[in-house]
Amino acid sequence: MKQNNHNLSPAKYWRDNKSWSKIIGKTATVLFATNIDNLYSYVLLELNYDKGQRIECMSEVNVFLQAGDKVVLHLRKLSESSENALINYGIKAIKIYE
Amino acid sequence: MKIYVANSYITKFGELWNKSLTDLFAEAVDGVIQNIDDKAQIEAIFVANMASGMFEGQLHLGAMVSQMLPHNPPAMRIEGACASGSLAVLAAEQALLSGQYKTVMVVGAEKMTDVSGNFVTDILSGAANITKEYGSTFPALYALLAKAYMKDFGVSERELRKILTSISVANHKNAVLNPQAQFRKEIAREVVDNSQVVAEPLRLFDCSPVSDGAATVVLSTDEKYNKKPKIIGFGHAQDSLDLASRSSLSELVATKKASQKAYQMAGIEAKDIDVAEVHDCFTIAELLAVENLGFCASGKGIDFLSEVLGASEKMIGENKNVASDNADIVRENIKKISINPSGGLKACGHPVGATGVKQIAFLSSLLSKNEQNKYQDCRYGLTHNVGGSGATAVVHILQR
Repeated sequence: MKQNNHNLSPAKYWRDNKSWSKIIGKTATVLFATNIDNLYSYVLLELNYDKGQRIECMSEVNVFLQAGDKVVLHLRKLSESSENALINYGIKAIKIYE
Repeated sequence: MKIYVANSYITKFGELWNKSLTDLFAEAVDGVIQNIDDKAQIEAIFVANMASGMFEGQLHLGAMVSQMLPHNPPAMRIEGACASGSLAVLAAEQALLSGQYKTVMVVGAEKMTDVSGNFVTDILSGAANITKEYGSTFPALYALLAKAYMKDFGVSERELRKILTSISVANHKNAVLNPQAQFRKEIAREVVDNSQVVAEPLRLFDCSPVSDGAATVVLSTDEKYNKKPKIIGFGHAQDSLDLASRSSLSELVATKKASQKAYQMAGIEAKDIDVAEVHDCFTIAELLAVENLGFCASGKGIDFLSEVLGASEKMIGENKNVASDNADIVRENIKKISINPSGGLKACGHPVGATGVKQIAFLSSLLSKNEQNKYQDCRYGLTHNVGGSGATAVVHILQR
C-alpha cells in the first residue's frame, strides 16, 4: 500500500512517536468512515476515554470500518517495507469484533 | 471600495505536455500585457502557486515572473493550498487599498502533470495535516464530509448520489461552452453513477482532475478603468486544518464566515448574486458551498440545486417554459443564480494555484460582455475558493 504524506525522516519519526504512547491501547468509536481504493478505511474516531476528543487514522488493510464500530488503537506498519527507507509505523484503528 | 479588473487572461487548462511551468506563466503574463502600452504601470506582481517546489523543483516564483516584465516589478509568491489564487488576489487588493500601488498583476499557475498520479496525491496531501491526517487522501477527507452531511441532515446515500451526479453532469455541460476548459464534453448520468469508487461515496466523476494551467488578472484603482467590472467585496476566513478539530463537518464554517464578510463589504446579500464560481473540487463541495454561501438554508442544498441545475439544463435547451409545481421558485432561481458557468473545477480543471485567479478572470470577462445571452442581466458575481478540506476560504464579489 502506497503511503502518502511522504516517508518520515528519522527526526520526524522520533518526534511523532512521543505522542503515540498516550493513545496506544485506547479504544474509540468510529464516527465516520470511507473506504479508499477498496483497500482500507480512513476514519474519524471519538476516543472512549476522552469523550469529545476526536482523531483521524487508517484501518488495517482489507478491514473496512463503518460508523458505530468499536476499535482499539495500535501501532502498525503504514506502508510497504523497503530495503532502503525507514519502515513507517503509525497509529491504526484495529476493529474490535464483539 | 472599487477595484477594477482592468484585464484578464486564462490559458487552456488540461494535460499540457508541451508547456512547462515557465511557459504557462509566460503565456498568462503575455495575455494581459500585450494590450498594455505602458507595461511599467504594473507596479507589483502577486504570484499564486501551491507546490512548484515539489512538482517541478522550481521555487522563487516571484523573481521568475517579475523577470517576464521589462521593468522587473516587485513580486511575491502566496500559497494557501487550493486557495492560493484567491489569497494572491487578496494580497493584491490589500496593497491597492493601502495606497501603495495603483495597478498590480495577479498571476496563478500550476504544472501538475509532469509527475505520476501517486506523486500528485502525495503532494496534494500536504494541504491536509500531515501528522494528524496521515493515510488520508483528499477524496477521503471530502468523503468524510459527505458522510457527515448525510448523517446530520438525514440524507440517504441514494438521494446524495442523485444530486452529486447532477452537479457533475451540469458542470460538464457548462464546460462545453468554455474554450479553455479541460473537458468539453457532456457526460451521461450513467457514466457518473457507474464510475469507479475512489473514496465512497465519491466516485471518479465526483472528483476534479489533475490539470496544468494559468490565469492572470490586472487589478487597478485607477478610474480610467471605471467601465470594467469591479471587485466590491471580499472575505477571508479559516478553520482548523484537520477535520477532527472542526466544530462541524456538515458545513464549511470558513466559507460561511468569508461570505458574510464579503456580503457586508459589498453591501449586498446572498440573494443578490446572479452568477457564482464555487469551489467544486469534489461534487460534495458544491453542495456544501451553496448552503454555506447563503444561497439556501443549511440542509436544503439538495432541493436548491435540484431546482437550479434541473432548470438550467432545461434553459440551455432553449425551453424556458419550465413546468413545475414551484414554477415561480424555479423561474426565480433561473433568473437569480447560475452556478459554475466555466464548468467549475470539475470540468474546467483545477491547476491548483491558478483556480482562484481563473474564477475572478472568468467572471469579470462574463460580466463585461455585452452579448445577448443568459448572463446579460447578471449584475453581481461571486467567486468562492477553498484551501484544503475547508481550512481556508476566500470569497470575492464582483459587480458589472
